[in-house]
Amino acid sequence: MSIVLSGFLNPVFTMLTLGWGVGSLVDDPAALGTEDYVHFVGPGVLAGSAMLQGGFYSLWQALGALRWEGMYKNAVRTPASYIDVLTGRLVWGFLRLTFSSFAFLVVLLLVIGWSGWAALLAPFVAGLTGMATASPILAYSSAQENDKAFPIISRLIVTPLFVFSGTFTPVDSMPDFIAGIVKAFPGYHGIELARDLLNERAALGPSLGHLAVLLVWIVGGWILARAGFRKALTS
Amino acid sequence: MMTQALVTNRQAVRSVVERNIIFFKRDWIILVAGFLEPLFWLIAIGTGLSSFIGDIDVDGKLIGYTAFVVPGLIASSALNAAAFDSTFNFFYKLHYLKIYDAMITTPLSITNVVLGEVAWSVLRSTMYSSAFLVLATAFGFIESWWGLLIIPVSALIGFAISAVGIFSTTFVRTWNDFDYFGLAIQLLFIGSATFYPITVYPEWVRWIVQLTPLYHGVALCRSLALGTIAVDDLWHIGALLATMTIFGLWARARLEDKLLH
Repeated sequence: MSIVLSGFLNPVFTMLTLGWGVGSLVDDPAALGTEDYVHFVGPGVLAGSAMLQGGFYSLWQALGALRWEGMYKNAVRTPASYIDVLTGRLVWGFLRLTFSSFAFLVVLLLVIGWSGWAALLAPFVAGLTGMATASPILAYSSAQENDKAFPIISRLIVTPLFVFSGTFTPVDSMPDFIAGIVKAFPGYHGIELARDLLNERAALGPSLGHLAVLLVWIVGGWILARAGFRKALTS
Repeated sequence: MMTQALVTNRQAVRSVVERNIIFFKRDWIILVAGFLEPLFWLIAIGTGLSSFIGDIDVDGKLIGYTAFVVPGLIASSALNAAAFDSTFNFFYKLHYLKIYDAMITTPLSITNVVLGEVAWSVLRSTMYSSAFLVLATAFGFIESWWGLLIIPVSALIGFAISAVGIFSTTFVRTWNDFDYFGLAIQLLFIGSATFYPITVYPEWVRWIVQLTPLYHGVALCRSLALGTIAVDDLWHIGALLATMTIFGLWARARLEDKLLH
């Protein structure tokens, strides 16, 4: 049920209410670079909410699996190594998010109409965006003994990134220092790429650039998370 | 009665509030983070979209988009303050810490406990909204002295949300049930005419929105901030008072069931 509520209904309602409500107020959608506001906010919420869920996937849920529930401790008693467990967690997260993003995409396409085959790539981009956020946070959370700092990470890092990464507003219309910071993070790149794909304007060069940023964050986080997994699972 | 001989109701309620204050003194940064969240939305949507959105007509008065969103987010900050303490935290205290079981073995009554938790939410809501109001005034978004009444209105919002939150939490069995709460809080936040006038909705959606508490808080804060007070505002106050009374009493009855049987 959790995946239906937070992974599907929540972003669908956010997209519909803001797309509809705020969309009816936007005078000049062309200035946003899309046909109308729904074309802007729809892909934004698709990748942005995947980012948000990716963040939560690496906080309490991860600490639960690593330390509180013992599921992963049992896994390393089989021939699977702690690195396999880490990789498996990220792959599973990617699949789960891609799956729920497809459900979201169906609703979005019902609202905006068919927008070309490239649209079908957007859920995979959302899955990658989620893991590009999950992976570095996992590097941190797997090294923690308790969840004391998690509310701070959730409310002062993950939520602001969701709000500021261009989900609802063009990043460049925000104060320069916010725009600058946001562009270093994976959410912005996932959202831009999803937006290009759903507006039939994805060019190869920029798209590969965005993908590369996502992959760097995923791999970087994976490398750093190994230490935390080793400590939590093998000692 | 014995209870009245040992502590007055006022002392009893105060002790429940003080427990929260002691707790958050250690975790003050969580208080600050909760306050910042509506500010993030203000910067992203309220100012970020203002260059794409023209002036909005509120009761015949044209105002800029940021000025339109500010009072909505002040009301939402009261929601943010009350929603988590009365749901997630209340559940944790009820089922894991079992502090209410402990409290009612002292001279505290169940009414004292509910009122104490609600009073804490009211305090937190008022702190958030007042701080937000000071910022909004500094940036010139409050156009009327009526704006000062936003402080008592945020107390009403905090009370109403807290009463509904505690009532709903008495039905929760497992942590997973809170996924519904996350969805409900998000819907209240974005759907209560916070970011656009209620008139964009079709008639039937308007009816649903008018049955939810935050909408009335948003409408009141907006009238007060812009100085567009009208008779309508009395019905918004009535709706908040009705919500807090009905759900407050209902929450007390539900909790009595849970703690005494």
